[in-house]
Formats: sequence, C-alpha cells, structure tokens
Amino acid sequence: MYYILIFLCLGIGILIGYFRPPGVQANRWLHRGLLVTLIVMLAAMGAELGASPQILNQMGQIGGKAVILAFFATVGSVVAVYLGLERGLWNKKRMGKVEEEHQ
Amino acid sequence: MSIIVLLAVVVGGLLGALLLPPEAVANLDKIIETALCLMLVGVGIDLGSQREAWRRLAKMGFKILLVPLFVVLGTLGGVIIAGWLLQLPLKEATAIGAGFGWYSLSGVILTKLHGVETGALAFLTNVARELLTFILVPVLAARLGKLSAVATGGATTMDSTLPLIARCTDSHTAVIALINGVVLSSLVPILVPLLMSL
Repeated sequence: MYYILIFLCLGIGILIGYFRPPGVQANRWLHRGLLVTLIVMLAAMGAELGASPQILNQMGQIGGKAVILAFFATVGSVVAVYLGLERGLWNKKRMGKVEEEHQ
Repeated sequence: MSIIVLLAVVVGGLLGALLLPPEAVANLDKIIETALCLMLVGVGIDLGSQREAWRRLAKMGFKILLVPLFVVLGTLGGVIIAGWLLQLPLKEATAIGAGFGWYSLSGVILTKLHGVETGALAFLTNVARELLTFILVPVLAARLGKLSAVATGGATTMDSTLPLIARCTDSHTAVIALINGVVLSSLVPILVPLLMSL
C-alpha cells in the first residue's frame, strides 16, 4: 500500500514538474514548503526515536553500523567507477568522448 | 542546512523522550506519512522540472548513464559486504545503501516501511556517506581520477557536494556530477522501497 503511495506521489510530482515547471517565485515557495515538510518529518522521526528507550540505548551501536555501511557503500562506488570506467572496459577514451561531445 | 536537519531530529527526539504523551506518539506515524507524501510530490516537481539536466542527459547519450549505473552497482556491492559483516538482512542493507547519501528521504521512507530502527540506521548511514564525500572528493580527484571523486557522492552530487566537486575537478566533470546526482536522486524513492519489498 505504502509502496504504491510513494510511487504515486512521486509520479504526480514529476508530471507536474515536467509539464508545468514552476517559475522563479513558485520555485522559491516549493523549496520553502519542502524545507518545512522536511523539518516536520525529521522532528517526527526524532520523536519516534526519542519515545523508544530500547532504540535510544542502541544508538551507539546503530551509529557504528552506519559508519561501516557508509564506508563500504562509498568505497564500493569508487572501486566500481574506477575499475569499470576510468581503467576498465569503458576506458578513458570512451569517457573522454562523452566530454568531447559535450564540448 | 545540516544544522537545521540535526536540530529537527534532536528537538524531535527530546520532545519524544520528555514531553509527548503516548497518544501523541501513536499519531507520529500519520504525520510522517502525510509529510512524506507532500515531500515526494515536491521532490517530483523538482526532479521533473530539471529540464536542462534531462536535456543534457539526452544530448550526451546513454554513455553518461554509466556513471550512476556503476555507482549503483558499487554501492549495492559494498553494502552487501557490509550487511554480511554486520549480519543485516540483504534487503535491509541494500535498501539503506540505495539512499545514496540522501539521508532525509531514505531515513523517512524506511522509518515508514520498516520501522524507526531501520530508518535511523538509513539516516545515519547516509549522513556518514555525505560527510565521507566531503573528506574524500579532494583526495580522490587529485590521486585517483575525477569520475572516482564523483562516485563517492551518490545522489548528493547534484546539490550539497556539487560545489566541492566543481572546485576539485573541472566544469565537464561538474556537469557529469550534476547528471549523476539527478539520476541517483530519482532512483532513491524508487529503489529504496523496491529493494525493501524483495
């Protein structure tokens, strides 16, 4: 149910944005609105965390796991792009072409 | 911006721990859900209206998509190893990795879909990824290669880490970084729930 809701909301937004792109003024309001919803969401998420003593107690452990996940995610990306694009199959010549075409 | 994010979570945490009655806490889920839907519509409008980036993407052809594609493959490969080390379920580890540094959205989507503990882990993981990007971009751009520097940032290369990438590399790489960020940002709200549903 939530999955459908997520895709639906995003899809509606993309369609609106593509066919009726906001002007400068509307864009400013859009970003203000996004900031407000972001603050509300994060505060609510924080409150859920704060109201749950067992998760608060595990916060150090969660933080440690987060650093390990982030480290592997970042290193994995660098290794994949370095070996795959900068040194590998799609070597510099090809990626260089992308840049030349852009020029 | 980072201070606002941190303040919102900490103030919310204090409210939840000290002030809010249990009935209010029970309603937090509804608030998150409504705010998330509103935010996704807003994010969609933002992504859809990036016509310039989409046009450049079409002009440069599919080759440019190799950068975000390899970032996706590398990120998922990395978090699969990390998840195995940490004994996290595969779908959880990959869904968290698919935040690609966009901590607010991935944290809230996973709080909604899988509970606040996974949400908190996704939030912190992706905050850490952004911080790591700020540290690594200058080093990687100088030592390894410009695209490798872009790879660290994931979805953040379209906004928060773009100025740093532009400074440490060149304008062509900055355009690649922008497109990489737009493509990965578009993938976050699609891949996170998709991987979690596997």
